Amino acid sequence: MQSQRKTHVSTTVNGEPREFLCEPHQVLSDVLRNTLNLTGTKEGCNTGDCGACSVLLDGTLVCSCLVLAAEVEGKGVVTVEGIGEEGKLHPIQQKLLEHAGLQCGICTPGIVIASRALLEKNPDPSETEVRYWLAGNLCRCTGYDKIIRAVLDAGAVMRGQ
Amino acid sequence: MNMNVKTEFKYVGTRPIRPDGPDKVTGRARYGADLNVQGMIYGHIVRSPHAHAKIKSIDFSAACKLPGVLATMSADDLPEPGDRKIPGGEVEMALKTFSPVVMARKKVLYHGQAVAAVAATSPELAAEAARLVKVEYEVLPHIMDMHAAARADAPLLHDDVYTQGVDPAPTTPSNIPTQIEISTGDISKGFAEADLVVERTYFVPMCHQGYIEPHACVVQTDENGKVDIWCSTQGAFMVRTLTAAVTGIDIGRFKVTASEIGGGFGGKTTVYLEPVAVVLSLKSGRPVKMVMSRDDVFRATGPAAAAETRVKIGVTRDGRITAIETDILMDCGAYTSHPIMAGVLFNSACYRCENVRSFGREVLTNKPRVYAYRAPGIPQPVVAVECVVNEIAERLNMDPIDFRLLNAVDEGDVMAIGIPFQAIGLKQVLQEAKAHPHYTAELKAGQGRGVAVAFWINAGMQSSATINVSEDGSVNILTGNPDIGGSRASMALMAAEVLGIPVETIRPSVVDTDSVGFCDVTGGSRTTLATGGAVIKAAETLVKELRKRAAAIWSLDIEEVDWTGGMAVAKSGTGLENMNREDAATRGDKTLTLADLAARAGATGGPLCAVASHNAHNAAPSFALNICDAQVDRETGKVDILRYTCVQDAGKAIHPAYVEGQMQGGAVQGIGWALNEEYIFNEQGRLDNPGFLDYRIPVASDLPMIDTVIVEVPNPLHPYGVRGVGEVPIAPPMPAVVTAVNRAAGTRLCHLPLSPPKLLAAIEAAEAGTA
Amino acid sequence: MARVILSADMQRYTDGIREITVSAGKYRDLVTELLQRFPGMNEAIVAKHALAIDGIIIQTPLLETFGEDSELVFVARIAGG
Repeated sequence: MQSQRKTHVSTTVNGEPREFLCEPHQVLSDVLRNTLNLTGTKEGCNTGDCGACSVLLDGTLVCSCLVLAAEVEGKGVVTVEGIGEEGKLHPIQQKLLEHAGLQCGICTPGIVIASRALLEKNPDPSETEVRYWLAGNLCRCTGYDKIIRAVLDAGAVMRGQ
Repeated sequence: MNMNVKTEFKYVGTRPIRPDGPDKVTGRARYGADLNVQGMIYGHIVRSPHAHAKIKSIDFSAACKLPGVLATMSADDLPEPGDRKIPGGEVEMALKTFSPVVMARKKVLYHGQAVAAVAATSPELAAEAARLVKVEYEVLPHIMDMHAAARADAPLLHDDVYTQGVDPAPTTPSNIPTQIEISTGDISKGFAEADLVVERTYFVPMCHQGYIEPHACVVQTDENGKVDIWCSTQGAFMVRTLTAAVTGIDIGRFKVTASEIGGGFGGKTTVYLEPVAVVLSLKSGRPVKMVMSRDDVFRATGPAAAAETRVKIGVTRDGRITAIETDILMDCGAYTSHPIMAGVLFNSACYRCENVRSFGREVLTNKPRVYAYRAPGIPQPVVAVECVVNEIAERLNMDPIDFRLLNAVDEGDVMAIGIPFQAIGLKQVLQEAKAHPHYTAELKAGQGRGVAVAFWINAGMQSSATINVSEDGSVNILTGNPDIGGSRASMALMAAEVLGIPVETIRPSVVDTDSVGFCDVTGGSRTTLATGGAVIKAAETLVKELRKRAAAIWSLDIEEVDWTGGMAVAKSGTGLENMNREDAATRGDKTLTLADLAARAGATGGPLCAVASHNAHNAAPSFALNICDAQVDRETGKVDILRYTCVQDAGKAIHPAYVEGQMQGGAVQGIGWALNEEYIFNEQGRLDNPGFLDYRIPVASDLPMIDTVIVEVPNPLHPYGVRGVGEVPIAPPMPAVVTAVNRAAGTRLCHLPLSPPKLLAAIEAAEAGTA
Repeated sequence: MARVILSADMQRYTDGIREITVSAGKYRDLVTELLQRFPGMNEAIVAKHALAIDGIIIQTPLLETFGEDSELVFVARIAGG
């Protein structure tokens, strides 16, 4: 397995052109974290069950542990590091802080990414819609209550309410 | 012992944004697996494929032939544990009950137990090398069922475990390490006085703490013998103590830095990877990183004990409890760990009862060694006690909260073990719950409601804190307790309260073991109380120093200088509370702010800093109550939690949002344990559900909002009235959910979890019985 | 004389006696008195316990003192999570 030739990948990460070499079997979360040093994307299971590694791939919400790194050739990846504007938190991030929607914080990057994907698709979701959208993002600390409130509130801010 | 408890606060009780928050929502915060260092290699653990076997030999030769494999290790690289006892914080731990969990010695006692390790230049190569390590086993019969393991003729896990707590001391070993019984009054007399006696047996399965971040560490060693550990843990000092004990290396050679921690709940109060990485690093001369897979986490860490509890409660016709008898059998996995103690001592601590007998036995089985999980040992028997209390109230035709109010303990009442209660908030919690609109909301057909209460003891223990003032008067607080749920914010709030300066000007840090005095783990609901206590103490020392400096500048006696509103004020008098500088100036008082004094620190005696060493003897118990409404789909057996309310006595809520968070998070963990979470072992003794797909923790769509009511009955022993809050929330949910579900479904299931197949079968049986 | 309630474990060395009174006013003297009175008991057994003094559980009571009316309870140490 070590003798296989590495694959060269050109992609865009958080709006910046990036190139990397990866093994054919390497997954995107591994390359983001350990090659590109973008450790904001977390790994909780590597089987697509916990959502901590959520990123946007050409705007689509994916578990980066289930995407082969070589697959992102020519595509655009958005990670938690690329969510806020320079020096300013995104409303989802701000509302998570105001509502105390995190305790340990390990699921938070995934929640931020998944919520942004939701609010872009559905700017005014119901509580139930938020709950089902985030059903793939496990949080063991909060019981979800404050996360759901934060996302609903962020939606209101983004709608200009 | 009672002290003046402060009741008016300026900062405590507010909800500022946590200081570490921005790093955590942007991905900048660094957790266990987020550190990569130059020259780093990767460790991989070889795990047992058998649930019970002798290790006959370990052959690394094939693995070592792979280019890039730089070190190997096994228990041969660690000292024999013998009978050494290690101070493990709250309780002493025998080294032989956790060293083999790090690395098995001679025998493996559960599937997935570590038997060897390798380190190589890439994670893939290390995994490949681990597959080439040849371990020869002699397979032994395994025991998974705790009843079978408790029998006298059962195959033994250990030949040196003799039941403690039995007289005369047994001369033959057994799988029961501990037996304990407490009693007060006359249990037979108590039952004779009862008009109604209800006896039931409840089973609670083994479950996992389920933190989302797998265990991870990076270890660097140097030419001088220094060992640096970076890891995800509930306590850096605990890692230092236990890693030193397991490896036999002097404590003085270690520096441990706790990374941000992605959840622990008791499961990160020990070491698994750290001693292995230390040995691999020393042998290879390279930094070593180790990260567990989710599969490893489920198979080889945690879990929480399974237990079967028989409970028998007697009451008079008018609802007074006359006798409580409990008998607990607790499955502790492969090594002794004593969660039974709390279960036996406190399972009915909510109730005033003259006649109590509580008996418990721990049993060893071929499963992973259990570790703490939030109020360890309590949720399992509390299910039984609370469900029976609900049944009794129903049969007496009494409201379940009224029944509890009639029997609830209060200040001055004495626990079964003889300890009298100080001021406690159980009655207030019950009254708040009764007044909550949820409690009287109408239920529809097919829906059920359950309530339950629980007690937890909470811990104090040792903590240190350092406060340093910068030249501009900004303040740094250093403590050694990993921030698992907002504790930096609480530390800053308490320091702000003492110093009288805005909370935003205080920067709290969690630092390594070289940079602050000893701190016990973040656990036992102790951090806000004990580490917060150290912060308060250090801040008070600093205030005294600031008054002294101001007095020196003004050529006054220290007694002539007050500290108020964040400044030293000369000519102390009345009306100083909440005074600002303008007011003081108007009065003609001289003032010096913290910034003024910081700027002149050099001229008045040197840098401004304060240190506190604290052993908190002022922990106070917490009580929590949950109300659960549930609905059961009679076609599928699926349960919907419709509405949920938590009421808890927090003493004083320092940061109420994070107190609510503890209540909500604990409730949802308990809901998961009640409805879905369980370890499922197959006939080979292997865990069949070692992933989040099959070990199903609650997800967002499973739940409603979790309403919270914080009751504040101050702890009379703490300057701000703080009790612990983190653990008790997991104890009431299981009985509240089980009662609600059984009422909704018309069943009387006593075997958790109430998973859909089980519930469906019970519904069908109930329908067949009534048809 | 302070009143002392012994833990279930300690009662195994006291012929089942649960409650005693002691003249000691300091933890160290209390231990000495217990060992004199119950020769089966030893320091290691006592050291396994926390001591509750008037309802306050103290894990490390070495230097604690108490009054003549104090209620003392030996209790097994409990680990939290």
